[in-house]
Amino acid sequence: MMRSDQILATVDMIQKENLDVRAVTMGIDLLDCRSESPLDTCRKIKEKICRHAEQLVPVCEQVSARYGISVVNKRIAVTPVAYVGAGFSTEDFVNIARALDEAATLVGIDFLGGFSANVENGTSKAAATLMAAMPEALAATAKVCASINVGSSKYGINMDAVATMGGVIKELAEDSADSGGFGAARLVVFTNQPEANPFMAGAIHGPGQHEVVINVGVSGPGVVARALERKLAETATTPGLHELAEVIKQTAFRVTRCGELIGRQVSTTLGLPFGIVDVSLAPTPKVGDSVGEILKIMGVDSIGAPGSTAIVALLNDAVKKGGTFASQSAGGLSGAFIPVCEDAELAEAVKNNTLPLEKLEAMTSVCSVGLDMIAVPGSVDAVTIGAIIADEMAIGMINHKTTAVRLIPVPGKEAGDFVSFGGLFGESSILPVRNVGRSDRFMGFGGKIPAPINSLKN
Amino acid sequence: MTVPQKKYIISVMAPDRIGIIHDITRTIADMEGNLTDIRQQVLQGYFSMILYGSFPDTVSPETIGRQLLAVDPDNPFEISIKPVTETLPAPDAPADSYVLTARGADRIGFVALVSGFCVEHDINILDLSTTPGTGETYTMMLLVDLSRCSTFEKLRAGLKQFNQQHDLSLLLQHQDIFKATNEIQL
Repeated sequence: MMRSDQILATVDMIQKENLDVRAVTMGIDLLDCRSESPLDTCRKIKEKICRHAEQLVPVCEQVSARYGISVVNKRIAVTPVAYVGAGFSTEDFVNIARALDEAATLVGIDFLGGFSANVENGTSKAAATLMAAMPEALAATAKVCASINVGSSKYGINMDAVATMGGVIKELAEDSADSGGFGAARLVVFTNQPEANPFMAGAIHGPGQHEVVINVGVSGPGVVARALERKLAETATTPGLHELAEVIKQTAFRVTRCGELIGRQVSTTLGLPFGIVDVSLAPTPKVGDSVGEILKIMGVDSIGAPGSTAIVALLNDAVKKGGTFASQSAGGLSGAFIPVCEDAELAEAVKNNTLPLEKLEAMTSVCSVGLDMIAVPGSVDAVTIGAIIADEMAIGMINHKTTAVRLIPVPGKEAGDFVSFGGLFGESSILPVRNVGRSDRFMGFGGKIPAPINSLKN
Repeated sequence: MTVPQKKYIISVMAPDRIGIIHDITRTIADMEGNLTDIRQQVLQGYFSMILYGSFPDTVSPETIGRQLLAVDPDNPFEISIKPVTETLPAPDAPADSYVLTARGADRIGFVALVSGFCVEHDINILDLSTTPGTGETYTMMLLVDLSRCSTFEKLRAGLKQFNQQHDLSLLLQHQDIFKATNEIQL
C-alpha cells in the first residue's frame, strides 16, 4: 500500500484543487481527403473525421470514469485547411468549414481547430483565399477554430498578412456583435506556432505528424496555488523564490503525470499513437483555478505591479522543468497561459486598472503564449490591431518562442465597459488601448520584417 | 534425507520494543523453522506479526508455542499457531487495483459503514489503513479489487448516493493515478 499522505495529497488535488485533464485532442491528417471536386472533398473530410473520432468522446468518458479524473474538453485538430483546399474558391473554403463543423457536431466534440494557414514567409494563393473566407467560415460554424502563423524565427514576420489579420479580427468581432464579438475568440494569430498542440483556438495537425494521433493538454493552476500556500504556511521562515520554484516544479510533475496517464489510456483504447502532453497552466474563470492568483501568492499585491513579469518567468520555467521530466513527450505550448477573460484574477486586475496592455505584453515575453482573450474597445481600428499583433509577433520571433494574439474588439463597447462570453471563455472589463491610430505609417509599409540574426545575442 | 516438514501460520502480539523481531525469528531459527512470508505492523504501540513457515515434523505446535512464550516471561507474547493442512487459494492479483478513500466525521461504525458498502457492491478489500485526521475527521484508505463488481457506472452511482446518505466523502480512483503522481518510474 502506498503512503497515506501521498494518497490524500493526490485526492485533494483532484477533489478540491481543480486538477483535470483540460483537453484530449485528436489530430487527424486530412491531406488524403483532397479530391478534384470541392463537394467530394467536403464529403471525404466529414467521413474521415467521423470514422476516426466516432469513439473519441465515449472513450474519454470511459477512461475519465475509470481513473476518477475529468477530461474537460474533447477536441479535434486537423491539417491546416489551406493545404487541403488549395485551388478552391472562397466559397469552397467556407463549405469545408461547414463540413468540419458538421463532423465535429456528429462526433460530439467541443471544438475543432485547423481552419489555418502558414504565411510566415509569404502568402500563397490558398492561404489568401482561406484568410478571405475566414469571416464567413467562422460565422457559418459554431465549433471551428482558426489560426494563422504570420511569423517565425526562421523566416521573419509577414507584415502584409499581419495587416490582413487585423482586418479579419475586426470583421469577425463585428459579425458576432450580438455575442460581444465572440467570433474573434475563435481565431489566433501566431508566430512559431507549434504543429502539435491540443489547446484551442490554435490547435492544428501540422505536417510531419502521425496520420491520426492523440495529444493531451493538462492544467491545474489551482493545484500550484494551493501547493504554494501550503509551503508558505508550513515554513517558519519565509522561503526563497528558489524554494517556491521547486514547489511549482514538483506540482507540475504530478499534474503532467495525470495527463500523460489519461492520454496514453485514451490512445491505447482507441488503438492510436500518443503524441504529446502540453504541460500548461491553463486557467478557467472558476475561483481557485487562476494563474493570476499564483502571482498574488508569490508576492505582488496587484497583478501588473513591478515584479509581475519576473514571477511569470519563474512560473513558466518551473512548469516546463517539472513537466518535461514527468512526460515522455512534452510538447505544444507548455508553460503558463495568461488569458485575461478566462482568468478571474487577471480579469479583476484589468477592472482595477492595474494591468495595462503594455504590461501584459511584457509578461507575454516570458509566458508560454501571448496576448490571449483580451477584450479591447470596439472602436480600435484594424490597423492598430495589426500593429498590436506586430509587436507581439516580434517578441516571439526574436526570442525563438511561440507568441500569439487573440484579441476581441468588442463592438459598441469602450474601455471600462464589461463583456461576458460565458462558460470557460469567461468575462472581463474592456482593456484600454493607448495611442490608437498612431501606427498607420508603420503598418502602411507592409512587406516583411526580416528573420533575426542568430549570433551577437545581447 | 530431507526431514518431513509441517507448515504453520503463527501470529504474535506484544507491546513493541527493540529486538522483538530478532527474538521471535531467532527462536524460530533455533527450532529449524523456515520462514516463507511475514507481515508486521505496530498499532498504538502494540507490535503484531503474522508469520508463515515450515518446521520439521518433530517440532510440535506446543513446542513452538512454549519456546516463543519463554522468550520474554515478564511480558509473554499473545500467540496463536495454526497448522496449515490445505493451501487456501490466494486471491488473484487483480489487473486493476483501485484506491477507495473515505473521509468524514468520526463516529461509531465508520469502518463498518464503509466496508458494508464494499460488501454490497462485491468490492474485495485487499488492504486497509486508517488515519485519525485533524479534529473530528476520520480517514480510511482501502486498496480494493473491483473485478467482481457488476458495472463501473452502477458503482459510481452507488458511491454518489452513499456519500449523500451518510454525509461521507468516498472517492474511488485507480491506483495508477497515485503511482503516476508520486513515483518517478511508471
